Amino acid sequence: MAWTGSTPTSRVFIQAVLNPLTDSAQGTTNLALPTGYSATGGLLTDTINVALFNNSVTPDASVAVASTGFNTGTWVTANEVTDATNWVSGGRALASKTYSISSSGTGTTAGAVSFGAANLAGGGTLTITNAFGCLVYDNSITAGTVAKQGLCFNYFGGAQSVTSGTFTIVWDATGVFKFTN
Amino acid sequence: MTPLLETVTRWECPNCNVTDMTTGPVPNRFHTCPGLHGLTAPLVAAGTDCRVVAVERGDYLNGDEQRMGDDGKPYMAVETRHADGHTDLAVFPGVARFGARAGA
Repeated sequence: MAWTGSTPTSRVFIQAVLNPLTDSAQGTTNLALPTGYSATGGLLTDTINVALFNNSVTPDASVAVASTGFNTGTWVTANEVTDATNWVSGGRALASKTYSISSSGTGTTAGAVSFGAANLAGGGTLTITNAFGCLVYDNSITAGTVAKQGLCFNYFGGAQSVTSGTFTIVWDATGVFKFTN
Repeated sequence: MTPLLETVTRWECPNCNVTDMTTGPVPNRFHTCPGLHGLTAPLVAAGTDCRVVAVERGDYLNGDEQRMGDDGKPYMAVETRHADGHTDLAVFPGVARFGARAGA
């Protein structure tokens, strides 16, 4: 079904919402967070990577946690899109991460809390062919049910290619991912 | 004593009147371009033989929240097409969501 098999086509993994995002709010004396996840800084302290994928993946926000990690489930390296030098396998790390209220909402409109980051560019000029979307994952999680646990996937809206040039992901004004009510 | 020379780059936009000047190595300069549907678009080094074009989303929105132009169309990228064949790309992914109500 490729990217369009998910509705919407960009979603947060429900397992990431459960643990670590929600579980970390309970305090570490009550539960075990994924190995490597920062109990004090969370996503803002951890290394959050962005890997590019082709249209052979089948994104599923409700999949079991074991299938959300980088190089697990549909997110295997066989489906990854890379450049040999400037966007290598595993992807690139987000910078300037922050949580913010992107919309406070009203009685009739939804509010939203967003996780945002600086736009993400390749390490230099690169060549990429048919990147359809990306997996955003926690590269600091090294063990547990899954290492490199996925947080969300973001669809690019179609095939993206670049030839010997710069490649930059310009995140939406409302963030990499967001929670709405 | 050897004086240090600073590299000065003059930037321009092929689609609007925005210009800029930077010193030192700067790979890209972005701006909100009124000539390109209000999208985030790169400036190019002054005199560069290229076209900077907005690329409409190639798929149905399917519930996704995609960057919209001031013409009401969803755009997935801004591509810089250079005369020598190489390209630069700024891609606009949908925002991943968790929650029941859209529109926030």
